[in-house]
Amino acid sequence: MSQTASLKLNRFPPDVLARIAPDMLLQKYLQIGLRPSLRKFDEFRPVVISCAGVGRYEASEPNGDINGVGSVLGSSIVKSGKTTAICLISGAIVEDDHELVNDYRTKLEKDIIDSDTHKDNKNASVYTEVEISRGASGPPNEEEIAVSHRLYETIYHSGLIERDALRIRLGYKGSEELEQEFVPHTNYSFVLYATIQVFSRAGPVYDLCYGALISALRQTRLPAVYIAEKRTEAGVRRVRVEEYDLVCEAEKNEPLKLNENKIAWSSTFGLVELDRDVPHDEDKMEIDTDGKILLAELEGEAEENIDTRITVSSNGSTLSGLSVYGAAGVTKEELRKAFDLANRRAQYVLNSREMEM
Amino acid sequence: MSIIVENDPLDQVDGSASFEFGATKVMSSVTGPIEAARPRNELPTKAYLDINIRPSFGVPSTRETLLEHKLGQLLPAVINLDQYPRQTIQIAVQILKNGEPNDYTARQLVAIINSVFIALINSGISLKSSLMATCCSISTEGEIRTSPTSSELASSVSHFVVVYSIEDQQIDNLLFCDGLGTFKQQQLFDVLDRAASEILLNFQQIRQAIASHVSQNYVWKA
Amino acid sequence: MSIVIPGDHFTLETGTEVVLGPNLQTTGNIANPTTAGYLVQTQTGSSSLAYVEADSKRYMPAAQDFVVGTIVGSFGESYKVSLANFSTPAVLGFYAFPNASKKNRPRLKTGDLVYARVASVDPDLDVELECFDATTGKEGGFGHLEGGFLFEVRLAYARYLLRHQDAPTPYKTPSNV
Repeated sequence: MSQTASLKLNRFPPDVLARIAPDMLLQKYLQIGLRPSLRKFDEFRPVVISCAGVGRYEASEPNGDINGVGSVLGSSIVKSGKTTAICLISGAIVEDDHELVNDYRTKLEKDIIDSDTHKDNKNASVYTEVEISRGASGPPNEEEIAVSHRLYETIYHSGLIERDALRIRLGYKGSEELEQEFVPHTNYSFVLYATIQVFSRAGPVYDLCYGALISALRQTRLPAVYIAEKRTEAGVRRVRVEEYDLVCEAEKNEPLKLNENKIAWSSTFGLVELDRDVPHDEDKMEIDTDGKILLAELEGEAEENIDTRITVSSNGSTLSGLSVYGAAGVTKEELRKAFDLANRRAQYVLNSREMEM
Repeated sequence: MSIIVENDPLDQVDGSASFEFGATKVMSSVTGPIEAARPRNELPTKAYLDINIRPSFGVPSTRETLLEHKLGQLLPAVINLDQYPRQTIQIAVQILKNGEPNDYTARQLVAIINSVFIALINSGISLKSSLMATCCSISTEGEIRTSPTSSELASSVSHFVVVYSIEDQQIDNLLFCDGLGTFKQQQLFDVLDRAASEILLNFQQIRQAIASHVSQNYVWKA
Repeated sequence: MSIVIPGDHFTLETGTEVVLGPNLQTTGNIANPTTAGYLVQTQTGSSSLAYVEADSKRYMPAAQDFVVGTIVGSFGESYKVSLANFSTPAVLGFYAFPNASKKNRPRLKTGDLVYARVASVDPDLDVELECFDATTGKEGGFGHLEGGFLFEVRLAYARYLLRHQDAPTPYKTPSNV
């Protein structure tokens, strides 16, 4: 018995092929010197940074009056391609336990206990929560948590925000210096929180989140904090009972001090090898390379399939927050190429007019 | 760096190992390939990696999730996942000793990667190559330190975790690199070179530990 | 015999027929061990054999292996047999016994032990077991195991037991293995 099977040639539109055979589609595009996103290999998407105007000390009204209410201290909207990230910075006041550690009375013991592990760290960070809208609600998934925590770690270790910048200098409403005996024994600091929402993502979101966070931090203004005393009384046996409220000013504020030279911009690259086995048309071959191809800012399903990645933040010359991984391995030349592009990209974005806002 | 490796300390899992260097110690276990616990974890063409990392104290937080995420980025480079379609490989990691300040995870990540690699070898899961991780820090004077201690980390301007694959007793590919803090391009390349020679040197100890465990499993071969 | 680990490439002899055993991956005539173990290379006539002898705990089915499994259920016309805890169960057909028919077939309960041969292995399909000798179609010692004890041992030791009649054991191996 013989059977004949006929194979029918199927034609798929690019978006369908991207779903069923992303690697094939990617190779087809690379052969003709393009990417599925129709950009050049090292071409970035334009990025638009703007002010969200919802902050407590931002002027949203046409007459220039500041909002004066709300808990948002800084905000930004960053758009790149069709993806939008909105970042809102809010804050809270905490008692400074850090001060206690440095108190000379506890210092002695502390030194003995963990002189090895405790070093006076002068850096602070911002607690970040990233939400990537995907049409369903629920607890944050692994990617969102990982991006959030990576932002926290990168900001912390880069030294962008110093602990001192968040310390609260208490005053009285009348702007005169606080008398020494009224100064509370505890010190207070701001803690910053950031909520980043990403809409219609099309590729890795870390760069955009980092950009939104940095832009929002540059906009952030911390309120002046006053003591509104309620009650101070001499209790029994000279115990002084203090009760007071901390009041955040509606108008008076000052910008959050950042280490300007640590302000950076993050870029993600994909690294992909041209597969000679994928059928190709010799005449149409546009590129002739034996090495791997570096793609800037991955976008779309076919490009997201690339699993060798380089992510790096740069302030234009100095690097911070690096993440490299991939089965294919990454060489120094590839890293150098990625760093050069990241530096150029950072110089361009950070010096552009939008960043100044 | 002095390394202490314990092979297969756990009885009920398919492969396990503890890795200790300096003040950091991590125990890892591998179970698999096993049947997927949830249908959505069944990938049609490859095995699903179920990674769980537990801190040395307290409950797992976003810190551990990021470590799991990083391990999930690295491991597909060495495990032949496509040999086990629809299966799950469970990797459970318990950090026993941090050995570094709370805001750092470099030393722990190194111990996690190395212990998971040895546990994978012990479980018999198909691997593409050998690998090893190490960490480096750059001090304020620009000096590179390999396997920095807790206080060296705390006073550093940047620190790195570097993973190289090892083939034919030689350094092969850079599989993973994670850097925090600020640094220059050239400094990173110097760190990579230092890390590579450090790994080449120290991998002998891991190889020795694996070899002695293999011969222990075949006592009758003597 | 030398101990190899993943990444220790070695060249296979060209020109001869090479039979590859477990724990090896090849690209061209370069072979790469996929786990740590003893590298075994033997030459018999014109063909050579290469494999990595490695110990592990979880049994991965390979065709023509002799296995002891636990019945964990049945569906359709076959039993589900567990070969290792939490692994995907293997499939043993109701009629994969010598002289089995619709009326006359072994009736096994959940928890029963069977001694069987792995008939086929495909990563994309269920593992299939059979309880008869592949060449003769006769019983061949396979089937329901009754009485005795089940011990879990490491796989290297299990293979050692299968190959050595005089291996020191706390119990007797089936006589015709």
